[in-house]
Amino acid sequence: MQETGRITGQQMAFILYCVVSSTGTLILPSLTGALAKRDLWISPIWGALVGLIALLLAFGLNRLYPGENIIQQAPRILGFYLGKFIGFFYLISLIILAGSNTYQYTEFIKTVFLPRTPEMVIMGSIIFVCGLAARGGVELLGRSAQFVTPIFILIFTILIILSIQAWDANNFFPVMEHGVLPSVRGGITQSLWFSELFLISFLFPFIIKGEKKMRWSLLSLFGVLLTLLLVNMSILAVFGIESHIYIFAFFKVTRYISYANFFEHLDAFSLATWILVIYVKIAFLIYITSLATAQWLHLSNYRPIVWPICLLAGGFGMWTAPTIFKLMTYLRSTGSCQFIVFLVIIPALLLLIAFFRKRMEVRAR
Amino acid sequence: MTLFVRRSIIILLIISILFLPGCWDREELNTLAIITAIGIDILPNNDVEISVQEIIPQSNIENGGNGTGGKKTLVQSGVGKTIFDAKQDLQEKLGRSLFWGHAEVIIFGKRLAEKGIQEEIDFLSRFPEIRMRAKLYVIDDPKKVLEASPITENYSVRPLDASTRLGTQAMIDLNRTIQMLVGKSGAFFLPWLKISETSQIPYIEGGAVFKQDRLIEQISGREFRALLWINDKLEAAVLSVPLQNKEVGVKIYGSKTKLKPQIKNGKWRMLVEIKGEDDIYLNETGIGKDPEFTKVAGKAVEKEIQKQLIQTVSKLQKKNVDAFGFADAFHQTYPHEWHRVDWKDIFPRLEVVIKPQIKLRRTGMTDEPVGIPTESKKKVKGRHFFCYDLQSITC
Amino acid sequence: MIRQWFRRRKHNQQLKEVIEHPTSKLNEKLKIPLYADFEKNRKVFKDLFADCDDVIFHPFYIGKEVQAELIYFEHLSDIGEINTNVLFPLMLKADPSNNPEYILERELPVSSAKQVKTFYDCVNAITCGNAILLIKKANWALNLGISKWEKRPIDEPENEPVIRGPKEGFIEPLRDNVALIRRKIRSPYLKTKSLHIGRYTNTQVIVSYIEGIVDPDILQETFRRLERIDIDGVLESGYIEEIIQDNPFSPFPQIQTTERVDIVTASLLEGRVAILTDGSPVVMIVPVTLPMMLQATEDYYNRFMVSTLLRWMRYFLFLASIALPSFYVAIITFHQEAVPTDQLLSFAAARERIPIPTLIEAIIMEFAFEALREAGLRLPRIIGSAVTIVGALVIGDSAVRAGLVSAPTIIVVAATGIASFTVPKYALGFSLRMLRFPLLLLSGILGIIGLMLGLLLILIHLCSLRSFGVPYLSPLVGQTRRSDLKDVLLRAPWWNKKYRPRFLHPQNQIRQEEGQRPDPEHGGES
Repeated sequence: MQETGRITGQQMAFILYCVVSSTGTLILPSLTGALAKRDLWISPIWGALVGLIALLLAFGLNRLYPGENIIQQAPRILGFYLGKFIGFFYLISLIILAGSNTYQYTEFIKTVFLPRTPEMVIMGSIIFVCGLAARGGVELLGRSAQFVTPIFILIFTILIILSIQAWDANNFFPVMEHGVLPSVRGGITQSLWFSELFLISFLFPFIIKGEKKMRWSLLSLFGVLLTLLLVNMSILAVFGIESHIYIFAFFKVTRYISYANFFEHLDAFSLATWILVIYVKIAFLIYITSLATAQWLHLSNYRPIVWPICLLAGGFGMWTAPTIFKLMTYLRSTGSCQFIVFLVIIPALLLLIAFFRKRMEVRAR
Repeated sequence: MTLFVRRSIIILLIISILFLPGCWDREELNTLAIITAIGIDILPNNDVEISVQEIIPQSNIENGGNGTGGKKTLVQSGVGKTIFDAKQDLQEKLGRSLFWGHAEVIIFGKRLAEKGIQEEIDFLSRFPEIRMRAKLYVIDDPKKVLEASPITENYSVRPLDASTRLGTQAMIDLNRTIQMLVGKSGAFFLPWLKISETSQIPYIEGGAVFKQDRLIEQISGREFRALLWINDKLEAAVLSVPLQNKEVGVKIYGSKTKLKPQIKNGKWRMLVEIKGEDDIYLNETGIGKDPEFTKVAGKAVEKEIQKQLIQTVSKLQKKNVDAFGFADAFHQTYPHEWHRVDWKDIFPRLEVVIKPQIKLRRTGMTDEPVGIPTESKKKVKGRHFFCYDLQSITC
Repeated sequence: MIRQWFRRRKHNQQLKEVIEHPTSKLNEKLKIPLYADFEKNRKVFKDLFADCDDVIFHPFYIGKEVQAELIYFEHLSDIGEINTNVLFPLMLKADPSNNPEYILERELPVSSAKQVKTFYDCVNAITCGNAILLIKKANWALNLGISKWEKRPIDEPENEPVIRGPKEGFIEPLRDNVALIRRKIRSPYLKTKSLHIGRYTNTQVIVSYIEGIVDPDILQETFRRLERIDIDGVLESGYIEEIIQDNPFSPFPQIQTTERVDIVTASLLEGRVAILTDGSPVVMIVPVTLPMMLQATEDYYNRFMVSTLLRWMRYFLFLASIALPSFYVAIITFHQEAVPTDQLLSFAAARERIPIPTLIEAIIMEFAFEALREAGLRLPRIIGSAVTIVGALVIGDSAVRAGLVSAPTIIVVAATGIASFTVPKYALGFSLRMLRFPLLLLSGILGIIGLMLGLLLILIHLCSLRSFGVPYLSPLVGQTRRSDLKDVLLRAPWWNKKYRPRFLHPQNQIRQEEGQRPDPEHGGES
């Protein structure tokens, strides 16, 4: 009733890829690098493990309650009131997620490209575009992700290849100087982004029947892992151990590229392609937030509340972090706990309860 | 239809919201001061002075393609307590907004370098418009370079690229500097500039070695080349090698350096392996077509390299400045041993072994000395066809 | 009896209304059977065609006894054929004692003669240039296909010239156009269904498709949309296009139009539907997608490697024709560092004395370019191109010398103009030119971010757009099949094209069997 569109497994994979790797290439390497130092490039592997768990949780819940997302599943598992309460927690977290991503985009653009443009304009313009896309529904999201992601991947690959001549392999050594711990600590930060793969839960009901969901989502996870691995490796190889002092480190790498004295100063191009994926991410977050809110309130249509959600997302973006330092501290401390709880721990608990409930029901019969 | 009207009103409103306040970050080219080089120095009263080389845009159409008449660049300076103040001072003196995006050359004055450049490096890496590719140099007076106006070039620092492209010199960019600065050895080096009197073109004369962020030693061109060589920054080099009291001129290319740290029985030793190929371009010895000759010449070349590099290494060892990156090499190979010792104590007494392996590939267009009567080969003293002067090659 | 009277009364009322108020829906109201009464029928026609001085009512007697009347338009019908093949045999040779059907079957040597039973059909026939034969004691009339009017010869469409390929194009009369298609597809499965649209023009529209290939849903949808039309006149297929397209506010054409026979034929074979309109050489093809709009006819005639290369060049130029000026403005006024240093210096020198902002400069030049193009279109063809080229050169050069605009801007605008002409479908080129201006404004405000946001808005629109139910970006989005992509990212050679475009859901997906690849070593079989 609420959403009649359907997407293919491939589109789902592309959306997921954009969700993680868009902001995963932005401030994440800097956050990770501060903890993992020289083992920066190992961290995504640990993060991907958490991503795999998040995916499996989403699959498990979907197996038990097919055709529904977590907002609809929670009241069924926990009963109406508790379920709605959990749902409310999810709504808040989703809005914060949408807001913080919009804020990261805004802050990045303002720092690097448009220092004199008011933040309201930068934020407002992306939210307007993403809101329009969110109103178009899941089909539109899937199609645009399908259209832009290959372009992004192509240009990303070219950038990485061009950057290789500035790589200094010595920067990788010694590997794991202080044991496995620093990379794991970095991995926890990485897992914050990887756990966003759990949002696949919101896409499950819309996937055309008979598509190979598992295959596509694993491919997506693998793509994300490869992307972040390459990003972190290139940062480490180009800027060395102190790379985490640069907030937008991968962007600095693309700026550093100089090939044949002609392919240099490629920042404008890398930015242009990066906008394509951040658009998919923000639009997707606004879409699922609106959809979840509509489902939580039992509205018949989510479209009218897209614009209010957009406003809220902008407000929350400003509110969670007034400066980029605050945002980074938030993501290092409270944020990481909150999102891990909301994307991994609660779903895990829900799955456990649901599993036992189902078993009890079977036994009662 | 009403929907259409409503939609168009909304779109109009959005457009007007965007347009009414104006375009914030728009900068027309004719309101920009395009800067190609930055010079940073310190004044006697400890104020920082920042000078920039600004391009004066000249249209080719107006002066018919030969823009030799007027000046092509303008040097402007700002002074302040810190580099940031100085930059602001400079901006206020200018009618146009400064555009740093193309400032690929940053030159430090000698006095500033002696005092320490950490503050400046911090500013440069923080400032979004400055590139990590910007190349750093040191000179006595940076303004001189900026003010130079070579006839052949649009702006004076442009030719600095050329020598690095030949491979006989290396540029050190901001990224490299920062990495060396934060590296384990705590030392780095920058090229030292000089301006050619005849052509007004700046060229790399030697090097400046920094300990932490302070200049402590100015080294000659030969020593600077040795430094680059050990750091694996050199691709090609031209050498005059003494052989049987005569000179043999070779060009080495495709040079690769590997640092192989070794700790044996608590004794620290650094093995520097250099691999490359060389061509003979000058042969004074009069020996030709002798299979032994290539062997002998090769040996001589390797010996010469060894001699030059060891000289530089021991010079810096005496000063206890590890500008060669030996510390990082040890740290990478022996992380555990590394943490147990103090590098300051190790480095001056470190045993450094240079092991060049240069293969002779070609002998130019001839395989015998030219211009010597056949019968008197090996006996007659060779003539100078042309002579490689190491110093002039480097510019 | 009373009911019958009432019915007749209603019948008469209806006719009277049609005659007195022709603005009401003529076609529907005339759909009543002819009377049995000869005089009454005559009167209806006389009233309908009152004050039409070019209509001929020719009363005569079949075999000198049975009263009959021939109604036709003097300039639309072939008078010679009427005299020799209708009037001569009927008046002189026919035997009046036989009943009318007998006479007509045996003694009327006109090939295209068929019975019609309603006033509607009769009026249609007359206005099409056919003659109507009314016979006493018959509640039917005879439609004699003897229309004849002047037409231009079939020649190459000037707007879609090709180097390799058939040089015939559609012309105005519908039946010639149908014949052109039939000549190419000699199969009974080629269907041509006829409709009439337009209260006054009563234009014949033919929907053509290949049964067994076309998706029945698309076909049904086409008919549904066509039958819904109630418009007073159709002078060109553009009238119909605007009424039946999916999104009326989209800048993108959602219906393909062409004058080339081979394009229509190829489309029919792909499982698409062609809509031919009488009086216009422009045939509409539905559904269409954006990648199809970027495919030229000759792609399929030239060698496939060349075509693939050309296609990619066209995709690139397509992007350039939308975004190149905006990109230039964004780079020059926001991201100057992206230009190589020496290039930037020469740009700066060129711009040094120009007071106008780059954005305004670009808009002015774009405007001037469009004006020149439009002027060139209206000029007589022979001097047209010369005038525009000379005008552009002179104006451009002097503008630079006068310091009005900078040379780089002119180069960019000219390059964009050339790029926009490489779009093979003219209608799409128009949309691109229109979209260029908002993009210019956006990139003038937010630089490359504005440009990207603008492109994303276009993408969002394209992703939500459909043409007769088919997503506009197919096969690039949705379920991507390798066989479909082979015709977009490449131009697969003919021996490799096993499937029809499957995003059109053709009933018969297999285009041809495999093993078409030439293989001389094995006797042509692989």
